[in-house]
Amino acid sequence: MGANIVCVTSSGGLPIFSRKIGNVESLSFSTIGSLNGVHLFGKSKGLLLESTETENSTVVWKEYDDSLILICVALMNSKVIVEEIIETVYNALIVFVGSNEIKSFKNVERFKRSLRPAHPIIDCILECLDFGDRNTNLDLLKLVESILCREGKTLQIALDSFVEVIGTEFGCLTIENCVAAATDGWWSLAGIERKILSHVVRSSSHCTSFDMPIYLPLKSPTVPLRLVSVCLINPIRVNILCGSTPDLSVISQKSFQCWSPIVDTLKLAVQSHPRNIPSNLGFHDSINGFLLVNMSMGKFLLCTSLKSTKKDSKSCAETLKTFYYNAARIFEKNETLHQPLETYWVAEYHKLHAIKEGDDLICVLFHSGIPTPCMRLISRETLNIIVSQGELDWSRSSSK
Amino acid sequence: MDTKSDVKTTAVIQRDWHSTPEGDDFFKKFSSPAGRRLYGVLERPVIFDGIEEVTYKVLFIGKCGVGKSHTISHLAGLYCGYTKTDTIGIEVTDVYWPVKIWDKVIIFKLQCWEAGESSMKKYNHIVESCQDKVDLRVFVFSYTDTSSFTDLPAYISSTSDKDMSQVAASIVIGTRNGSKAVVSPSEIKNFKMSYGIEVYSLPQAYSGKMAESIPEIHPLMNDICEILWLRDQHYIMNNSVTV
Repeated sequence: MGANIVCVTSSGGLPIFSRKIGNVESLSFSTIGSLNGVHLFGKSKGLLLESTETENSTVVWKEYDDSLILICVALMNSKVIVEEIIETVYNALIVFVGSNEIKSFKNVERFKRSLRPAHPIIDCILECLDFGDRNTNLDLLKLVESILCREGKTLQIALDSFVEVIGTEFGCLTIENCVAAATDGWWSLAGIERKILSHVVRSSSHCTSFDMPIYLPLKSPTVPLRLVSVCLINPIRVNILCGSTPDLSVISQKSFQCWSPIVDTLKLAVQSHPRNIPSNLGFHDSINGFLLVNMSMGKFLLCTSLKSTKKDSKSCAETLKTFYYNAARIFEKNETLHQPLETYWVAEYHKLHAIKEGDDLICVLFHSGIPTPCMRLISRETLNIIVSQGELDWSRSSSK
Repeated sequence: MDTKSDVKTTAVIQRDWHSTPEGDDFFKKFSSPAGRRLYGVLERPVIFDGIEEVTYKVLFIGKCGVGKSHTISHLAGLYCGYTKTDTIGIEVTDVYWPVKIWDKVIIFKLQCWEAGESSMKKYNHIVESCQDKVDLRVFVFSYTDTSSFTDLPAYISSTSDKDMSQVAASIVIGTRNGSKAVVSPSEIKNFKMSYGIEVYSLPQAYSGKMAESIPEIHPLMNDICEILWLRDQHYIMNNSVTV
């Protein structure tokens, strides 16, 4: 199971990069040439080749700015998902080089080199594909992972005053790369921007602090900003977007000054991971785990360690991911006149149920013993337990 | 000028402290065979509570691809099995290292800075931020890339200090020293002679998961700490003379 994504130039079909995930062969040079050739052939006849499907894989082509063509070949994933992967990858390229460079690069070799730092991010994006196996990390396309802790409000206040000290509007606090608090400015970024920034922070979390020039694909595609991230206590990081000042050492110093008074609160907040919800919240016995998505804010919360071991928790997460991609994502579309509100799967070892209420969508994984008609009630109750906790502030900005 | 000869004659750091029961105990608690962990700005190893800590800024400079990030991970005892691409912007990693100076244990906190070459060329604020108040410059080259070695003089001359009262110390680290080395020992010797900067060598980069190798980096880390310590002593002495 796996996928390949390649990028070639529109003008000459020269390969820019090729990345893959999973247990598949990398695409050979001749295959890349043929895939590009068939797209080019259509183009010369005034046809736009969008996608094709084989027995078990999907191929999608997409050309951007008359400059680059991205081609993705993925097993077991639908056209919609593959298209979203391509779109996210293209936006990730903008993050590293800006849109002007993509539209008008002169030297292919130099352009290839400048895109090399984007490779780890492209790999992270490919991990969002669902292959129904347990070899990938659990990550969802376009949604940032979040964590709820009792200390959330204190963290939010501290973060708001920290960004004010630095002189920016954009800041977020992450625990093991899950958002624990973020400023209104951060939530005002496009979902895809927030997601790519979260990939960038995750792939650079091996250092104490970093200061990286980046572009925002929608908000600032031609003028670079700085993404500065400081590790407060491992694995809590504070990440901000700012202009050319203040200096990284000043930001580190200010981080120390602003956050050291609440270091104990930070230590308590870390304990919410990996459960991702406060330990005193109890749920119905029949639940093995759940995935909660807030569609308007573009965030998700995954809780899979309610009572299972680490190994079970991973398989529980993978099952929820497959269910979300294949059954529950339909709720996010607003195309049809009649909106579905619920869906469920019944399998040999477990049952899954998803329900949508307002902007929230919850997918719950039950053990197989639960009577099917009861799932609706318990899912609703689970959603209620989280949403009704004012201090957890799950729907913070969506209500604004 | 010749910092190294100063170091050798003075030898303020107890070189074999790590093999004494006290030092061994320290290092055992501080690291595990799987490596050390990364510490945020609000924390430090618990076993260092109550012990004096000194902080220094160490800047790693060298051609793209010579292994600056890898060297820093190696000194920090962090896992570095992934293929690292060119660093974008600045990365700072805090490295803690305990040493015994005379009869006192002191924790050195080395803030290891490095910046990607392409970002340095493109953004002024990155250069300024990196060069500001540096205590030690570590010039890095790769034994398998001659040009990275021949470029060293250019890097050294381009990073001179504006404030002459606080001149940063310098050392050179050569990475990937193994069978494929193309930089010869005589070239290294000539370099040391003409620049008076000590050259240290690290072996071929580990391809797989990097296990902690404290004994291997002991001499290098002790030397770095000693250079910084002596530089401070000189600074204090010079300043008290002017006062």
